[in-house]
Amino acid sequence: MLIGWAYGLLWIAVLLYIAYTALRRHWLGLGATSAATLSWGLLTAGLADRGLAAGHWPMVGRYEFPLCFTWAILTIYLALETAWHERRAGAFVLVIALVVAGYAASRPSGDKNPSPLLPVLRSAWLQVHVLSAVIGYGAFAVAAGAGLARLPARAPSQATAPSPDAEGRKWLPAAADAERMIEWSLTFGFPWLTFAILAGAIWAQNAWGRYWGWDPKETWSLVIWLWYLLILHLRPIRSWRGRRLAILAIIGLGLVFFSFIGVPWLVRSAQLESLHGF
Amino acid sequence: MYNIFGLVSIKARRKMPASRIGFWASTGSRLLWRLFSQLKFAALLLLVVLLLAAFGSSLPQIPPEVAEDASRLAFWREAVRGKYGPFADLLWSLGLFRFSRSALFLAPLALLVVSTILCTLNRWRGVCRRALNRDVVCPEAVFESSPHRARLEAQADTRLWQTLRESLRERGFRLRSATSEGVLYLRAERNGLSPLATLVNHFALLLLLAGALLSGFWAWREELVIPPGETARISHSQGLALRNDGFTIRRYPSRAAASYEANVTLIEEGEPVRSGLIRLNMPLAHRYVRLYLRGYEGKEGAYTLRLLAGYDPGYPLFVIAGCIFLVSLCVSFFLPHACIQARMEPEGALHLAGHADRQAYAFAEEFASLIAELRQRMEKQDAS
Repeated sequence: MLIGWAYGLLWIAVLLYIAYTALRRHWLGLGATSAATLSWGLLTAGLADRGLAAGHWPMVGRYEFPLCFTWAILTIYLALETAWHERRAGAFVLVIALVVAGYAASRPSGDKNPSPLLPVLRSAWLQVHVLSAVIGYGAFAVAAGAGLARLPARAPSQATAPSPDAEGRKWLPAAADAERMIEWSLTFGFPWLTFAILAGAIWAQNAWGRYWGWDPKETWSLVIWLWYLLILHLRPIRSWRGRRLAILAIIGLGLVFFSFIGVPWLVRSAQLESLHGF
Repeated sequence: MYNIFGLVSIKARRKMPASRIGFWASTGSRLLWRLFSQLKFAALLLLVVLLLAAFGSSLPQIPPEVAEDASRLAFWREAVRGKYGPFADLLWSLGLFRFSRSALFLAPLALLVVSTILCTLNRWRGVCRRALNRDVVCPEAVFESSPHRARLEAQADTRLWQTLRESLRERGFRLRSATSEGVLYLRAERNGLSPLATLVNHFALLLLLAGALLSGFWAWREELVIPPGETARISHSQGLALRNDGFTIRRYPSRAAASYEANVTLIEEGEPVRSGLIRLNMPLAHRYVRLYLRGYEGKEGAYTLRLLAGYDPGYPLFVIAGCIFLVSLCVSFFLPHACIQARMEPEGALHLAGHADRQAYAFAEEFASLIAELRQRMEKQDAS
């Protein structure tokens, strides 16, 4: 129930952010932030309630993991909005959160029922590995949202203090603000993803006797890690900032989505072997 | 004077050395050095490796136990031939059914390792200089070329200088000052050693790959199938055997399996040395061998165990290198080096120059805020 209300409020928040972006009324912005914050609170409570009912942290499977992913996106975005007093990227970021939450909502009822953990998942490394992956992916989603907001802006990228958009596109965040959000999110998310992969490797060694087996899920986590490593290497090059950086961040989120939706489909359709089929 | 994919441009030497071969060899090695040291080239290699990994993940991979058994390997090959038809032989010859060991994947990975090494060798002096440089008196060029610059005019007194020092201290900078020919110099730094973290994390990545290499060449794994009460020898570990003393399934109230426990006795040179439990996620370790629970067969009271015995010398190095990499990454990202240099002339002109390794926007805001604060304090002092 709590999760359902959180999802509904997330819809309202997205609509309010879009209205704020279009009309730039302060009360719309306040309403959007309030709705997003309330949605976050209900989602937190809903996940805690589910965890207590199931007897384990609610981060397993194709229902719980996307909910945790949504929670991470909301947490990181709301923290940045509060710190920087900038909510014009909210519509873009929360649409991504809505897509992820929508995926969770579309799961069949069998996936939604809380169930006890499989024996192989009964390990403290579950919390460490999945939580750090969720935080990393959440940060990448915020980066992609800021990237979407950066795409239409024409102001050139400048590492200077934030300033109003020169083209008068006041419904968008200034190019510098969007790029700051992209940069911050990428540098926040990458260590978390690295930690998730390392924790996963240690857990795999304890569970399966090998820390890396080129399982499709493992390989795709490496693909994502390499992609963001590539972005971090291109970032110092002036010609790869601005809109190009935004596009790279958006592609990165595409890879993240493929990893948690596409890889299970790939395993099934190509009849591959995978130890991550849970 | 040519470009390779826009990556490198060189200028031919004006003077030809006596030996033409020597000229081309030295030019060629310079070209390669510069190519491998370039960020764009490293990024290109990263892209190639990740694309190959993504493609390889879409193909079934030969399990290690199948690769070691010729008859099982032939059977497996027939199965993929049935699945992929005429493409199977092509994919097989390219090694894509074990892509992590194929030349197609290892070649760009090796180039990436070489690029990492050369890039580090190319940059380590500059990085160390930046981290360990304690020169306070700096040339004029610093105040003309830094990404953040400001100039303030003040009365020829030291109050502005003191105000600057206080503001920088409040912001967490460590200060060093000096005087040269009547001019005051100040160097304010935060996280001064942080640039070294880049060298550390590149080194850690190489260590990590070294651990993976150790694992690839010297690790072994052996599957054991042990009926109840029976003993099985571990052929990789001389004299070590395991006896199946029982298997327990603990269940949830819903009867779903909650955990599995295998009770085994380790036998060395025919003598039992210890008994222990092997659970999922909790392997049993004996000397350098670790024992894992893979599965079970049979019915209650007469379970046959499927265990995995393994030894991996690369794993500890992998974990240590991974931890070093993570810590140095966090230092590099979250404790970036920032430096503000100041020069005050006897006439009262104050020049400021600042740069930060990362978080450029945050530093830009901080620098602007510092200038605004200085101007505000100057106005207050002038008013009073």
